[in-house]
Amino acid sequence: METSVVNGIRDVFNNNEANYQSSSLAHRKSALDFVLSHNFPDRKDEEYKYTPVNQILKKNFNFKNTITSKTTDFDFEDYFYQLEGNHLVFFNGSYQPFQSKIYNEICCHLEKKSNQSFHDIFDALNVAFYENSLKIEVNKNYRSQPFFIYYFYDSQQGQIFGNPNIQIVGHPDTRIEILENTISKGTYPVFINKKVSVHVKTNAEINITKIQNYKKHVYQIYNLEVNQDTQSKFNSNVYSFAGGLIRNNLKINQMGENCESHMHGLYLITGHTHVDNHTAVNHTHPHSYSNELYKGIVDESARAVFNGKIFVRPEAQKTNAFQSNQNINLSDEASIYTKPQLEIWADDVKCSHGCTVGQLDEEALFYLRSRGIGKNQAKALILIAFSEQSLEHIPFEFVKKEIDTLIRKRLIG
Amino acid sequence: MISIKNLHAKIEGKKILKGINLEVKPGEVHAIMGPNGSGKSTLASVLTGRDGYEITDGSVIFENKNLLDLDTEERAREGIFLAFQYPVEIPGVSTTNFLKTALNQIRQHRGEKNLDAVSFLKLVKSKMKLVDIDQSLLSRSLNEGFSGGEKKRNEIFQMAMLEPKLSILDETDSGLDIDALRIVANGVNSLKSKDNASILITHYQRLLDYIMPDFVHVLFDGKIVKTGNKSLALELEEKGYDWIKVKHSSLETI
Ligand SMILES: Nc1ncnc2c1ncn2[C@@H]1O[C@H](COP(=O)(O)OP(=O)(O)O)[C@@H](O)[C@H]1O
Ligand SMILES: [Mg+2]
Repeated sequence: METSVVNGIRDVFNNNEANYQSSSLAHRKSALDFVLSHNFPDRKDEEYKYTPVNQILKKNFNFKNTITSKTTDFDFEDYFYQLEGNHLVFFNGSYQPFQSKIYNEICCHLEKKSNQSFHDIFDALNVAFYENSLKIEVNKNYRSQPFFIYYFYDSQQGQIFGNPNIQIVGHPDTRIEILENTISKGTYPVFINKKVSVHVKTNAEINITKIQNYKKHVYQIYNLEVNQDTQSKFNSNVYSFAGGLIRNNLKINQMGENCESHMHGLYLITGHTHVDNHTAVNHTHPHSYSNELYKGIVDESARAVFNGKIFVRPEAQKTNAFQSNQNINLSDEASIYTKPQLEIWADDVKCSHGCTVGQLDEEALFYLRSRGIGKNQAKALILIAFSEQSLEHIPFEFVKKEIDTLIRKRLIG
Repeated sequence: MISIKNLHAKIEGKKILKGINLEVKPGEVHAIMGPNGSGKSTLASVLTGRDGYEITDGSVIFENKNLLDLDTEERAREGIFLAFQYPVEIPGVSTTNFLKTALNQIRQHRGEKNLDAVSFLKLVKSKMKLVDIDQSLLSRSLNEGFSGGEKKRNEIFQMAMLEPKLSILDETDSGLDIDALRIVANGVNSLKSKDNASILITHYQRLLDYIMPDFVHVLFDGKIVKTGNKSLALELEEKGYDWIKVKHSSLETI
């Protein structure tokens, strides 16, 4: 790593050191050492070929200029959904229990200690820097309300480096629903390096829905790692609309039989927005299932990257794994890179995958216009229909409507 | 209603329409017949403003407006309707879904109020009967998995909903069995009035057994080479197109 970046990161760490619990300082330092002895990935890294984080950060973000601000003129509650549930606030990356409105006290814990393992540079960066961790844990015989997590960032005074950290545990026979949204203020760059780990235990179900509608100076890396036990179900829905950089890493590890994983995504991007979804599902036991559908509409100079890995290990017989990534490219300047990656060692499996990049269907457009529908409206009709398939799996009806409105506003103006 | 004069059009540099003249008055039904590849669908495309055609000569006046100056949707709002030879599939868009938008944009253009959901549904119900179409079909993705007959009936249903002044039916009869043909023809007949007109593009005279044309034109190699009444269609049925081809080709070589 370049000396100036090393120094920048080290400075931030030293400035924060007093806030960290001393018992876990050694662990944080080992994570920091890991970070400093590696490089942020760039074009040479296969996994980041189209998302050279190193270059993007170098151009847009400077650790030296970050500030730690505890005060803000945000009125968090204004942004809460008008629904019963747990409204959990993160501010500039750290969990704020006192600003949150918690319905199920028993399910939401704050952990100051840093003891999590790390596998790559972003993981390590988060482990070194996160101020606290939110642990959501739901036990059997306990019906929890949904969890609405709001990430607020205020970069009115300077650059913000945020490291939200969340652990989610669904104990056997439970069901958890989570909705994440991000709200930011200010014009200085924000670098978000989020780490979320999920454990779905036997016969439990967890749904996570994320809305990513960031300002253009927000750069986000999101590592979501999921472990699933026997007969568990995990659903991920991710809707990306804007941001300087959105990189979502979703790793699902099925560790028992009869696991079910659903991954749905939609990106509807314009300007210079860059969205990269990397997903990986590891089927290790028999009778497992995964279904993935990501759809994208890419306009202007936006860039979309999709990479979907499916591993079916030799023991994972009778596995069904489906994957599809469909893109519509609306502009000559836009770019779309899509790649399925299937590695199958078991022989009795059903797998299918398909990646498509196409233009708007001119025949369909002409048909609708020939019925009297204006060009833009006709385009919107086609594109909304294309998008809507990815909204079918949202557990929250109001979010479906909100996203639908967002899509319409984006397409019709 | 529409006056087509000396219309010439090219696609991809290839001359397809080579001087079409056609005058249609309110209340009239015109049949355009002709062998495959003679330019019938091209004429329909040019009249509805499909991209990719170059109009090299001629004019089209529709209700005192220069039709060729208008966008596709503006032509539709002025009252032109095309029943497609090959209706497209649009995944996720149902007939009722887009037709409401279409109808209201046409109504706005005419200075009428938007239809609310209830009156729209009432209208749908009444027009459904006309072509014996099922409501479930109308709420499915447009033409996805529709049979040939269902596609064509859906086209006529839309025509009934939008009440155009001039409808162009491009081979609406092809691929239909006799029952479906009768339904489609009945639909078209019951929509006929003294104020609207239609152009029936067809390959066979079969359709004309059910819809009585006032004029029959033969389009060949981009030109209308013969015009007559219903008996011309019968003559074509009997003799085929070859005599027209021979006659016309020999004229050209002179
Ligand atoms: N997109 C196109 N590019 C080039 N030639 C075309 C295209 N569409 C139609 N043609 C040609 O134009 C001629 C007339 O076609 P068309 O109007 O479809 O005939 P019809 O409907 O009378 O059967 C044919 O020779 C056809 O090959
Ligand atoms: Mg044709």
